[in-house]
Amino acid sequence: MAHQALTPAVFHVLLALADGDKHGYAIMKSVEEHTAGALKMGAGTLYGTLQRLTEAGWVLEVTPPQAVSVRDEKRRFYRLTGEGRQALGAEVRRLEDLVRLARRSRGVPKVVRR
Amino acid sequence: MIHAYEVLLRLYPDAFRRRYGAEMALDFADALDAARAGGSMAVARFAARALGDLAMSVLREWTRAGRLGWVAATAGITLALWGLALRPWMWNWDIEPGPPADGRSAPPVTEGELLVLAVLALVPIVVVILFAGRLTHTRNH
Repeated sequence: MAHQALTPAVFHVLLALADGDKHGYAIMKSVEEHTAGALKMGAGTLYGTLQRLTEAGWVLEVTPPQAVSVRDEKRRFYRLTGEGRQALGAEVRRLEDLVRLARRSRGVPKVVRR
Repeated sequence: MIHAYEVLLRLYPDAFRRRYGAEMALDFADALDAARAGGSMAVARFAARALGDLAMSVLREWTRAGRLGWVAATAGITLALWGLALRPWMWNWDIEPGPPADGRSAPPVTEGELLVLAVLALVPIVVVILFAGRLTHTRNH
């Protein structure tokens, strides 16, 4: 079955969790950093996405690590599951294929990195 | 501002709010602290973004909770109340633009009517805030 494209919110949350467990605010900050401030995810979007990802089995809630601040003790931490990692990998491959296709195509202007 | 956000969180479906409401309030407080470091414009931009996100995600979560009918009904009642309060059937559509010829101007809506309009527009919002949780709760059982 062909892999379906992930929404930007789902992709960025999975990407943020790929390098370790995080709580909601840390995910928001991570998304902002990954996108150089282009995407600032609001709490409503983030927790709606986390709820769907948890229901799909791509993300699970975990107990907070021992060395967290008193404030962070009140927060839930989230972890990427094996299924979630597979979905993220499949999306990255899909995006790579798209970019490869675009580069092979004539008439597509060359991207100049700044 | 944090207290206002906590009140607005009541607009979410009950199950969603119970599960994520406390974390959302914590995140909002932290993000507000970070925005304050950037000055009043940064706070204003943050508040506008947070309100926009809240409006969109409230609609999304009610739709997911299978309660789109309540959202549509609330929006419909709000529009109907505004429509009634503005009384478009009493408007004079023949008025030419610019100041009136006799030098006196009659406002289309008086101050008292505007006050009534504002109060009426708040009614559906208050009803949703007070009863939204109960509606979902009843359905769950």
